[in-house]
Amino acid sequence: MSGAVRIEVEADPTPLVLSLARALRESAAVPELRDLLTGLTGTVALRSQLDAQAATLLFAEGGVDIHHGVDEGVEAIPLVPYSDYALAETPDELASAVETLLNPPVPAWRDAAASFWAANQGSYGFPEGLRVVCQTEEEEIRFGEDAPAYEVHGPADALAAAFSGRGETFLFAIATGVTVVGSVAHLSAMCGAHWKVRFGV
Amino acid sequence: MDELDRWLDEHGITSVEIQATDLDGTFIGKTLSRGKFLGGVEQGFAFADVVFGNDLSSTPILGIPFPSWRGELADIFLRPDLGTLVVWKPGKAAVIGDFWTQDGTPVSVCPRNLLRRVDADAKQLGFTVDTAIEIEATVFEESVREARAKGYENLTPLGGTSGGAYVLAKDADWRAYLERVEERLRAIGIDWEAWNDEAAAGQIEVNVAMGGAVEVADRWARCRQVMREVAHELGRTVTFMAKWSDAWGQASHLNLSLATPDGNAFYSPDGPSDVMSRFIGGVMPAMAGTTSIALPFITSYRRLIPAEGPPTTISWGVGNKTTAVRAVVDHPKQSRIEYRVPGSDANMYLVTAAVLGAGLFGVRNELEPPTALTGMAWFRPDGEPIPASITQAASALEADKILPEALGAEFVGYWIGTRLSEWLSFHTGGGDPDAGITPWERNRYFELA
Repeated sequence: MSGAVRIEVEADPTPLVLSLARALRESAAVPELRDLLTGLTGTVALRSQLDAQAATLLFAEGGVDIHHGVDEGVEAIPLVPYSDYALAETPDELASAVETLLNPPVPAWRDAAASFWAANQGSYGFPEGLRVVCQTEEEEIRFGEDAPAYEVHGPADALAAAFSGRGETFLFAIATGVTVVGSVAHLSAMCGAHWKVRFGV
Repeated sequence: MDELDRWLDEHGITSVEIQATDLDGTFIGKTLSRGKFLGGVEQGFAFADVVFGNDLSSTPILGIPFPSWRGELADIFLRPDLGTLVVWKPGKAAVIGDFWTQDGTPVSVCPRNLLRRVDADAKQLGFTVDTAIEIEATVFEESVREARAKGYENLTPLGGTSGGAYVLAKDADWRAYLERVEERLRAIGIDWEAWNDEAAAGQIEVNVAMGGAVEVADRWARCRQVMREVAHELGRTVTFMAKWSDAWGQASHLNLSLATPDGNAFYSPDGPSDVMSRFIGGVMPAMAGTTSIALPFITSYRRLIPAEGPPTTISWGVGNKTTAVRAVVDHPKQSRIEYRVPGSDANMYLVTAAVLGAGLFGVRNELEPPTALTGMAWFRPDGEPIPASITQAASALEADKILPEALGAEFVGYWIGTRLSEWLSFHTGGGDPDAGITPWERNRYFELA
């Protein structure tokens, strides 16, 4: 369904541009958010409050073009890009709609883990097995049947966020209550896998 | 061992500095007591694998697949190459080494190991390699403490701000610095050829003498260290950033030729020899990917400004300094290529390995080079640009088919990961691609690049 929505990024995009595009692609896969996105017209600029990154989003003709920096004549809205994208309060309806689109529903932890595994399984250095233990639901899921598993434990919401590319890095997940059992090499691979999901590359 | 013991005695050595470079070209090592050195000289000396796993801010680089030699901060071993043993200063010797794993295999990403391996490839093809490296840097009146306190900004170039390149009418402080560098190089036994004023204020160039590929890369690493030590000794500071201000940037041009027992294999009386042509035939298709290695940092790319000296297009030409590769021809001794892409912040072990490896690929596979460019390579409508950012260059390296063969797929994959980590650190650490050189860059690169 998201294939029909044009979400373009500039050549040589910055991390913020890539992660905003990923969030919008996720929204484009949700019918009501897709309708919201395709109906927008106008320009919004966002400036991160955590670093010097900024991005301009141009909505037109049912799609969006995203590039880094703030276009001349556009007033940037402060953005806090933690796990969620929080915009400073603004009466601008377009900006409010953009904030909604930048925070699509987080998938259930099982779905997020399955997508994460599917996106990275077989990549050089990625664990051959993955065991995800949800502490709040006292359930677990395992990928890569007989292979030694890298283990990720945590509450449902933290697992869902980590596996769906929320937060700057996989280490963000550890700061939110996720724990892991495995090697440093696999931790590095998990960080790489998180980038892949977060940046949609 | 007895011979080594005697050498240490004869020179009154009480400690030994073991030296190497990491991936970023930073000079690293340890100072050992004489007894410790003698006890470990054969097995090597343990370093944590983060030698090749931390970035310039000492932050672990995560996100890349680890090769088998990386573990839970596993030990790797710096094994001294006793052919490089010198008296560094009274009572202290220095020796350069290569990193090996516990089981005695070379660490795949160790820059000196890589260059030794590619140099051995050349020997297998019947060639010896001659190289020379031009070292550019900028020296400031302020001490490094003062420079730190000022955030490496608004510093005073040593030798004043007037004039252009090659000016001899410089003040005594400027001469004192370079003459002290020269004195230290001579004392240590690092062959040098020339030094002079360069185009930007405070900018200098020091040329280490031509020699074998590994030998010259060793000279490059040690010469830069000497330039730093002398700066500190005289209360000055020096930087090898490719660009530290909006003034002209600085480079590390690599001059390279192959020889056989019959002489310079790049020489032909009527232009590039077949060997030189094929060498360029390998270098050119690998140039976009090699750029990732030749321009390793965010700031490196800020130097690529047409008409300011650096090449900006994938190009080569005979006697043409606007192209990325200048072929010097028609001279039995001086025929060579000058590879003009590397910034002064490049790790020249890696650059030499990449250029040599790509060139040898061309020789082995008898690749014909693209047509040599005549005229100016800047501002052309048809010029293929050199990758303009750390991510563009990393993508070019990922797409390259020659360098994984020349340098090993493990190194190439690892290197690309480290560069993407550098890109991420820049953007999420306060760097701004649209601003001039940012404090993030100065703080990260000024002292260590």
